[in-house]
Amino acid sequence: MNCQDCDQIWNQLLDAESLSRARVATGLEASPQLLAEREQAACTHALGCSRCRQVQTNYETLRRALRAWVSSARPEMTLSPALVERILAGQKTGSSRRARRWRAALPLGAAVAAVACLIALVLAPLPWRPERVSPGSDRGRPPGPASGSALRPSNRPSDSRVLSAALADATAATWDLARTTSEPAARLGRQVLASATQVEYPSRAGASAADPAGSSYPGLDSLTGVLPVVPQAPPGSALLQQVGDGLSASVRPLSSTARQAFGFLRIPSLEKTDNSPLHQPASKGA
Amino acid sequence: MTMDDPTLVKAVRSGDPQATRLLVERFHGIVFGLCYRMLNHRQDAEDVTQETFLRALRAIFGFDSARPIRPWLLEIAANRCRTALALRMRRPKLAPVSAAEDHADPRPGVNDPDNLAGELERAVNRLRPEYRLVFSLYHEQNLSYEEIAQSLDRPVGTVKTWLHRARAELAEHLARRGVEC
Repeated sequence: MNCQDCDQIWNQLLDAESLSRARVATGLEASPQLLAEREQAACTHALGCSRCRQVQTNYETLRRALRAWVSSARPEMTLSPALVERILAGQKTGSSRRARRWRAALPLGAAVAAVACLIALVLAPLPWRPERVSPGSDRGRPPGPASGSALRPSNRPSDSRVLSAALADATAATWDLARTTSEPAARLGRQVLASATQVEYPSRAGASAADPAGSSYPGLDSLTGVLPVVPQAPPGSALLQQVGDGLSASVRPLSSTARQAFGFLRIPSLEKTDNSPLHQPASKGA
Repeated sequence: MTMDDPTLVKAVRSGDPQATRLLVERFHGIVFGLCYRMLNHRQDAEDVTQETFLRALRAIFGFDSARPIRPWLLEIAANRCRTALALRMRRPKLAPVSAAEDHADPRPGVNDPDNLAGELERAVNRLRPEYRLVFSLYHEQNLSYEEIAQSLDRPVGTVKTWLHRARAELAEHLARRGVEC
C-alpha cells in the first residue's frame, strides 16, 4: 500500500458516512467488515509514514465532525411556515401576470399579423400572373434543366419556384428595357448615316421630297432650320474624307500605331499615297 | 393520501392545486436546505427557494417524468444559488472577514459533538461554492455521485474530485483550528 491508496481508502470511509442509498447508487457499497479491513490496512501504512499519519489524524477528526454535523439539528435551517404559502401565492401571481400580459399583447399581435399578411400579399409573386417571356428568346424562361422533363416547375420546391419566377420577371423586364431604349437610338443612327451618305444634303425646302421619312421627324426639320444652310454640301464620302484628312493633319506627326488605329478614316487617301509606311513593301520576305 | 413522485408530477401537470401544494411541501425543505447552505443567508435562501419552485412549476410540462424529480429540483436550486452568489459578488462587501478566525482554538481539546459540528459548519462555509455544493449535496442531501453530476451538469469524475478536495480542505481547516479528537 502506498500513500495514494491510503487517501483512496479514507475517501471510501468518508463516503460510507453518508446514507447507504447513495453508496448503493454509486456502486461503492462495501460491507462493514471490508471497510474495517481497509481501514486497518491504512492504519498500518500510516504507522510507517509520517505524512499519512497526519492525514489519517485529520480525516479521523473530519469523520467524527461529520457524524456530529449530520446528526445535529440546525435550528436556523428550519423553515418558516409562510414559505409554502409564499411560493404558491407567487405561482398564482406569476400565472395571472402572464395571462394579463398575453391579453394586453393580443391586439398588438393581431395588428402585427394583419400587417404582415398584407405585406406578404403585396410582395408575394402571384401564381396566376402570366410569365413575361421575351419573344424569340429563351432568356425569359426560368433557369432549369435543359431537357425540362426531369423536373417540372410543379415538382420543384416552392422557394426555388418563386426564385425562378422572380428571375424570369427580371430577365423579361431587362430585355424590354434594353429594346425600348436601343430601338430609337438605332433608328436615329440609321437616319444620320443615311443623310450623311446621300449625294447631296437635302435642302430645307426639298427635304420632304428627298426623304419621305423626314416628315415624320419634325425635330430634324427644325434642327436643319437652325443650322446654316449649305447650298452644295459635299457628298458623304467626301465629307468623311475631309474629316479623316483633318484628323490626320491635326495630329501629325502620327506614329505608325496611331495611323493604324485611325487609318479607317483615311482609307480613300491611303490608296493614293504610296509612300505610306503601311503600304511600303516589306524589306524582308517574299 | 401518499403519492409517489411521478404521480405527483402528473397531477401537477393536470392543474391540480392540491398536487402543487403537496409538491412544494414535500421538497421545499430540501431545496431550502441547499439554498441556505450555499447562501448562508436566510432571506436570500427563501427568495431563491421561491424562485426555484416557480421556475420548476413553470417548466414542469417539459420535465421528463421518468427522471427523479428531486435531483431536478436541486439542479434548478443550484443554478439559482450560483446566480445569486454571482450577484452577491458584484455588491460591495460590508466588512472584511477577520483573519483571526483561522487561529487555533485555545482550548486543549474539542470533544463536544456540538462544538465539532459547529467547527465543521464554519469550515464548510469557507469552502469554495462548487466544493460546498458538492459536499452539501452528498453529505446533507444524500445524493449519489451520478445524481450530483446530473444536477450540476458535470462529469462524475469532476464531482468526485471536488468532493475529495472539499474533504481535504475541511480536514486541514479543522487541524488548523486545533480541533482534535
